Amino acid sequence: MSDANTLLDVENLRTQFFTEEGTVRAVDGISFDVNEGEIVGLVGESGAGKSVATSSLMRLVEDPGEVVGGTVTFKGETLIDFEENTKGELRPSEAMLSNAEMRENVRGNEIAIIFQDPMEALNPVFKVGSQIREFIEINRGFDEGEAKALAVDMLREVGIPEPEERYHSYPHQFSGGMRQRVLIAMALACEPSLIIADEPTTALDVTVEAQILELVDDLREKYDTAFVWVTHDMAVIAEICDRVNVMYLGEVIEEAAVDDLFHDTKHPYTDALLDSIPRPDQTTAELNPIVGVMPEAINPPPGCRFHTRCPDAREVCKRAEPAYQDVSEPGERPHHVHCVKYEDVGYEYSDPLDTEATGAFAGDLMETETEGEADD
Amino acid sequence: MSTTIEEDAQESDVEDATAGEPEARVGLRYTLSQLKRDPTAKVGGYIIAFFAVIATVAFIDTNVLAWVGHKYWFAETFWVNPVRDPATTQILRPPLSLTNDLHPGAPGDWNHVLGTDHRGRDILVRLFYGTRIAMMVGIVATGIGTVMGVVVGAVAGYYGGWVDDALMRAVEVLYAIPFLVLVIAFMVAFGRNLLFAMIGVGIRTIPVFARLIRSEVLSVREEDYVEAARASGVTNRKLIQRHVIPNSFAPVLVQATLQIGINILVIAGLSFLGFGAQPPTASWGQMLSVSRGYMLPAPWFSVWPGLAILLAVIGFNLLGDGLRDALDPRIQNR
Amino acid sequence: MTEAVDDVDFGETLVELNGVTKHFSQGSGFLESLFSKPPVRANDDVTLDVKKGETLGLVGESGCGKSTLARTILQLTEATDGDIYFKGRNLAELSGEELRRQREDMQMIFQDPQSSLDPRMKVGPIVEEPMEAHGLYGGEREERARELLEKVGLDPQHYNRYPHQFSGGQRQRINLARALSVNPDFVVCDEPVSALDVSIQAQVLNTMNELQDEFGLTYLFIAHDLSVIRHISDRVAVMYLGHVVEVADKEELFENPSHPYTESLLKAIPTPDPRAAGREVVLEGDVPSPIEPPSGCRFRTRCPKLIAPDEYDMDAETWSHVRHFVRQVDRRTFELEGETEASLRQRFFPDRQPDGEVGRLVDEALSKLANEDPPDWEGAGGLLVESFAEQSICAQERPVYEVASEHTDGEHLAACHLHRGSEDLVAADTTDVDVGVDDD
Repeated sequence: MSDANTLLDVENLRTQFFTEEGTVRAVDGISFDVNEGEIVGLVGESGAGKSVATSSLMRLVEDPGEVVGGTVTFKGETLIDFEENTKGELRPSEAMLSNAEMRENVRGNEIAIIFQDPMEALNPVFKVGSQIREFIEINRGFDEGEAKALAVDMLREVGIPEPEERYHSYPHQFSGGMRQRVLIAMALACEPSLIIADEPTTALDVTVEAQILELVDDLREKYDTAFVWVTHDMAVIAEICDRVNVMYLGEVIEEAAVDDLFHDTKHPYTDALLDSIPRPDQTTAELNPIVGVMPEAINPPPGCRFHTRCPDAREVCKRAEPAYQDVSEPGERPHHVHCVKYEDVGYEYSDPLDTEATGAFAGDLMETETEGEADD
Repeated sequence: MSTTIEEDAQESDVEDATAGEPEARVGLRYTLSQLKRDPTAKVGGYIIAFFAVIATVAFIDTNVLAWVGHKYWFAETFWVNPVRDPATTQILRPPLSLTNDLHPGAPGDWNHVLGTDHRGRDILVRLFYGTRIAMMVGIVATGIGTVMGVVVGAVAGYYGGWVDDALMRAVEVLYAIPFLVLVIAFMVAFGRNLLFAMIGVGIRTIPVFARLIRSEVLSVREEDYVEAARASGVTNRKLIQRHVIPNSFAPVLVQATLQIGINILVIAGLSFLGFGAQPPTASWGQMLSVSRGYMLPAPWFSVWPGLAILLAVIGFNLLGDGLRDALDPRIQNR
Repeated sequence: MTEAVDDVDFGETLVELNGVTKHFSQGSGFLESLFSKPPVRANDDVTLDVKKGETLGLVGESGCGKSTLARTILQLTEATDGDIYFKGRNLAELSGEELRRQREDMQMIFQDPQSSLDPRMKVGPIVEEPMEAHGLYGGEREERARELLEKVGLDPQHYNRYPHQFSGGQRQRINLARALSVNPDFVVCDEPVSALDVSIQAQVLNTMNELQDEFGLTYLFIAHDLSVIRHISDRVAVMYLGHVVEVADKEELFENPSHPYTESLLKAIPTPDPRAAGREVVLEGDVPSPIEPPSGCRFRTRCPKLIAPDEYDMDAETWSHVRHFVRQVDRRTFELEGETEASLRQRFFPDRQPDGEVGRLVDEALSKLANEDPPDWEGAGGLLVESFAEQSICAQERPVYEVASEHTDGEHLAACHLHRGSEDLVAADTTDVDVGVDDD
């Protein structure tokens, strides 16, 4: 299914938003890669930074946000790269593609994005067919007639009945699932090697979601396209991904093959997440939520960012910032974690932290107070 | 791969994981703080404050102190009888250091910094007292329009149906009649003085606010929180009062500040035509009107009231702009 | 049950819906009455009851009418037909003021935690508002509001904060506090956790459970996520396109689904486990429009178990092929280019050609497609739909059956003709509503 050919390589990507209230470290040093033909999941709750990460890859981040560090290469081309100048600051390097090259060669052509809300991505006052056709014309340089033919073909390919007629329909005349298929058609029309799908099925009913996922699987086999699949739904991840990256507050805290992630979970956050979801196949008496709320990226907790809600937190977790490393045994598939437990800093001897998360019960609770707190 | 151990520079407790709570983005205090940050709004605010102070002083003088028997402070310059005292007549004196044909060789002096009018009255003083008229007129006329317009428009928008139809048709009648015809007819019927000018303009302002708030209400009443309140059992009257109107009010507030500027202009125009403050009451519009006849010998006579009107309207516009930005939840300085 | 009572015992019926129908007219204004378009039939003939103390889960996909039903029950919109009883009183018969006062006992929690709180009001007064509207707790409202905030897991000191200063999960708790402030008996929850992150969902669901125990609440819990429904409900009702298609106790529904739609729904839920079998895509096509819904059983246009018309003599396998063929032609999901009659025949009926009347109809349809230029899709589709789909009992009568419960004691209703004459049938009541021949 997937070669050892690395299509996309992201290393230490950092993106920040410079606001009046401070600098929001939305993506703070994430690394992952995508091989040809595989589906890599990017999962996390709201606020984790997944959407910012994908926008950063495509260099679509806008003011007040800015990519401030890291290296991203795609099929040998450097999309993002920074080098240190004499003052020790990071500046975009020469090796990066220019904005024009990015726009003409990469976006749409090589890497396509599918968004969550089709109504946002499709212009409501233009017919669907002409939008796809325009997309094709721009990216593949076909003339109008050829582009139209290809557009109709793609509509049929994604399962839209009567494609020649639906070509002339407006977006609002389609149902939600159909619209999403249109977006997929648009993305595939230019035969990209990589498609970034940003929560494409979140807004759809389960039965429609099942249809779309089946379609994606078929198309992947046919065109050998790789995917970065962004979602917050662990079940979808389990269903279609080959490998998974779990994000929390701007960092990738665990990366593994999908089976390893679910059955050999290494990071306490992933564990807690899996534990907190209701399952359709069993009746659960009580859910185990993760205590508290994800903090804001403008002022992340020191040390390990998850320590404030981690049931296994110890004193050393407040101070040590874990490195992202591969903890798999030799011979096993790679499995990266970002957790103090796997480091050599005396986790075992450290005292448990006294937080609600480590307290007697993990009941539902509000976030903690900041007013009137005595400082250390 | 080595690990990094950072000594945390900050003194945060474990419990202090969440950064400071987001601050309130609603409410009077917040709106004021937003305004303070906006230079345009501040300029506008200062201008208006300036006029407001003058207007208040003038008001106290003419209404309060006059009651007590105390003549106007500047009374001796207020009115001069050119027939009785020809020798002391100082009509149409030029402003400071300029000369004109009527008084060659006698440039303006500090007695009458801006010059005098056709009756020898000091223009600066008249401008001063004119401020009170301008402010009062702007605020009262706009106030009438706002209050009545909001009530009519909110009720129409909230209830819809025939109530909406009936009320809005009535409002449109007001719109349909040409403005001047309406106001003049009104004043011919009731009286050509300032009071009825204000009321007339006020009535003419009603449609502006009625339409504005009605369109806001049409969308606000569909909001979930209104339905949630209704589902809790809150009465319609309370819903309109507590939820619908406050949430529809921002554009009305902005429009009101702009409208004050507009109405000042309008009433100045009316005075220009003779329908407004009657002489000898000082009003900018009236001063402008009179100055028409003296353009050649005394061109400055028209300049000063014109400038005053201009400044007042600009002030309200700037403040209105600033308010619009401050009240718009999207344009936040995040 | 038509006598009004003051209170109801636990386990007795608290809310009763009888043939509730809600149609929305398209367009408004007085010209509408002259050129009226068919209405949107959001709910049709819904009969359901809710027992005191239970959580009735109401599940269905977008467009099935569950939100509309919730709002109709609470009289936020008037039912077009049917009756709704609360503690025995018919809500439609109440005057405006009486209805308003009745709202003290029935509250609602909305889906979007943000938009259901007035952004310009502080949270404390928001929680107090219902108390004020019903004249309760005079003088101690603030105190009680603070207590309630604490009860739902918030800091009572946040009384003076604005909604936007809270997170999504916290806002939903504020909504809970508000709903509870007047001690309601019945709370309708319209997808209360759908907009929240998964781990926050768990927190809020736990809180709702605790509150239900403490205050003796009855919930009507609407959701589209079956995992959540499974966790929180006692009984479950499944809706499709304005009809209730199945009602059963929770375990019974999940272990013994007796309606093809419920089965498809269950099969479509993804399991968070890569080792679990993948989802089966059972349903083709889209949900039909509620403006002109299919006659009889509304699910028949997509039902994988549509019943063959009695007049033809077909075995199960042939019928399965014919059914598939009918739908594919009707939806025009395949290309005709390069296909001949023979190749099409091979494609849809690979093993055996149907004979008799069935064979003749199939031939006619195939001929229209393959031998005419341009291909007569409409003719072929129309013929097939009329001859097969609309002759089925599923198109003729609307089913209502009671089947035997296998896992629990409660009643199990399933609106599917597959149960007619079967062993687990307990009672049947086929009310034919529309026997009009609508589109497929």
